[in-house]
Amino acid sequence: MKVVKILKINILALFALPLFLLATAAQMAAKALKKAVAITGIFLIVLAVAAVFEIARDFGQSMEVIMLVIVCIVLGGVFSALIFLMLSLASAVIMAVINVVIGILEGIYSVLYSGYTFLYHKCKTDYEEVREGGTSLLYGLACLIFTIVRLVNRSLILLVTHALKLLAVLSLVIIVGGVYLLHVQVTDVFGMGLLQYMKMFPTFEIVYGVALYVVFVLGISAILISLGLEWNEWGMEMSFSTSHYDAFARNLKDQWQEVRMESVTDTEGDERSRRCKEAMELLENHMESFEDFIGETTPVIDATEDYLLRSDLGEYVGIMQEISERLREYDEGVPMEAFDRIIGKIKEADNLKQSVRKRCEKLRDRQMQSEPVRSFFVGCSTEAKLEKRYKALCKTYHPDNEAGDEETFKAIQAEYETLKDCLGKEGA
Amino acid sequence: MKMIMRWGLLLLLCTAFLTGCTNNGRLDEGNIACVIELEDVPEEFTTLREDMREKLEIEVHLWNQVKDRSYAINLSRENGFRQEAMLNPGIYQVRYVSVMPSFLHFKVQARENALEVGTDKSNDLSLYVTDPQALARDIQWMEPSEEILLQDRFSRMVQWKGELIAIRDIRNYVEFTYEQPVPPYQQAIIGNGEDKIGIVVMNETDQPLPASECVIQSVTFNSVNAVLPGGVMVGTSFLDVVHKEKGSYGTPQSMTGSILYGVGLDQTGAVYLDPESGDKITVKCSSNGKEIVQITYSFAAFE
Repeated sequence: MKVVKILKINILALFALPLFLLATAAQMAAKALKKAVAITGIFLIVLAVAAVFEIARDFGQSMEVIMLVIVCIVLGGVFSALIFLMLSLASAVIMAVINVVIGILEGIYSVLYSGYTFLYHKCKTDYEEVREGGTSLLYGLACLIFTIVRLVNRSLILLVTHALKLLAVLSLVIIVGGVYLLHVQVTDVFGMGLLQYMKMFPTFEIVYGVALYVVFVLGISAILISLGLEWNEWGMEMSFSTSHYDAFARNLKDQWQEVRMESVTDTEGDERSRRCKEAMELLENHMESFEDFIGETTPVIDATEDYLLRSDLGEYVGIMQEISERLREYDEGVPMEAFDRIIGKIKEADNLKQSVRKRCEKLRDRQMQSEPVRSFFVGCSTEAKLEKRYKALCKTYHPDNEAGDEETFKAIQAEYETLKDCLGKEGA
Repeated sequence: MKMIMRWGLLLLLCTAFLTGCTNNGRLDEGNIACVIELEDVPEEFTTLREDMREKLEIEVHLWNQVKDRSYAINLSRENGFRQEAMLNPGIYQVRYVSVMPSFLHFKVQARENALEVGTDKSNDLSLYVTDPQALARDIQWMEPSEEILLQDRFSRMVQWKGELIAIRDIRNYVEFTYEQPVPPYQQAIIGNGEDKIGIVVMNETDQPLPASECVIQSVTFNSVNAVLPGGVMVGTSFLDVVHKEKGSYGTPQSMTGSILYGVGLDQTGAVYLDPESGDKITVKCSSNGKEIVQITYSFAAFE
């Protein structure tokens, strides 16, 4: 029986790997395309800087340069207004095409990634069942293709979640490296250092060269860092969609204990403090019900295998974690200005939570209509998992609870008892 | 049907966006082998300076009217001035043939106006050197004489086409077209495209004066016809001139152009000033920062 399962795991993993790689390629292409527009913008800025300096180069007197800049700004404004009407249509078409391409790529990513996570979780569930009590190395080798998939998955998640740091370092390397390369070249050709070389140029040329370099390099760095931020979020999303949330929930709870909110809650009076207090209450509500929310949604997601819902739940967890991390930065209590800045995030998390909850309720209703028995404990292959799921379900469906239902609770109890017996016998 | 058309149009737009509007053809796109070759490389080529030989590159641009595509073929010492291409049948017109570096008097032309590619055609395009003697002359002129090597760099002397002359006398050795008289106290630029030389003259009188009689303010050399004292000429390595210790002219007094050396923005130039006479020599390097592409000798403004 185990051999069949191992074979199944390997075959499913064989399909999962290309799906994962293609999904990653589609997502990267979509993100790169988004940045292509920004890169074009930076080159236009560089060209504009170069054009202004080139025109100014012919003017010896500083007063003339100032006059020229003023004239350029005025003429540029008039010119921009005139061409705006003509270009707006063309740019709208170009942007529409870019957005369509990005949309297609993101659609491809969504479909492929859903397929991948579906296969991944199938493999993972089976693998945990097969491995139960055995040596992980032995079963890891037996399910070699799944092990490879897991390694690729983890490596990419690791790489993408650290993309921000890596790209920040890369930006720094580009900034410093550019200067260093110029220094090396100048030393080779002129036999002197960069500063000595620069001193030989007129001030205008120094300002021009430095301005051009700064605009270009900072532009590239800004693109890299924004790409890093996006990849970071994407990595979190990937990490959540192939993991269980318990660890995140526990981690978040611990983090939340360390947050000090006194300076927000103590403030009275104006519109902002009222807004902050409302958001504060909402956030506290989210934090207090966080574990329960995870406990009530995870069984539905596991049972229905809705991986887009899993991804949304992952996003919600990510936002909550981000909020918690940002608030933890303040040891002496969170200043109202800082709290005001994260209200948007709190509302975003709230909307996401409502959406996930509604979809979960719908799925639960549908599931109960079609398959009333043996639907609450899908994926619980061990006694510990069964126990945990049972506790989570009790929290939601116990008749004493607001959303509780006696019949459902009885069905859960009956299924729990049956499965507990079965697993007990298997264990014996 | 409408749906298919809509998606087809979208796909077309996406393809156009992703591939861009380029109409450059690939040299391996067809199935008929064609040879583009330079016939009879002049014997003098072997006597050309090693660095120049390395740099020499002939670029042939073909154009297929039916497909509206251009094809660029590079011939250099590396491929023995012979390039094979796999093209589809059709007529490929020779748009132009260019030779780099441009400061050499090395001109190449195609024997035919078009390359006809087909199973029953020869499928070859031959190029030839229009004036084989020009390269020999270039080599001869590029060789600095002992006299010019010994001259002081501000001696106002130049080796022009192998002959040592005073820069002020350059008008006697080059044909210039003087179209209009120069207005009083005004400057004018005269030049000769063949010899790649430009002169800035100044009318220092209060009457209009023909450019031939105006005072020469500066002379700009853009070809290997001129060798300055120390053997400095167009094509010389920039490093060999401006390096603090190894350079023939050493560290310059000031610089012009872009500080972003070798980036290809605005040619970086080194300026050497003679404190005694007030004369100035400006050597400008190529966009890649490797060799000299222009030398200007400016005479002191007030003498």
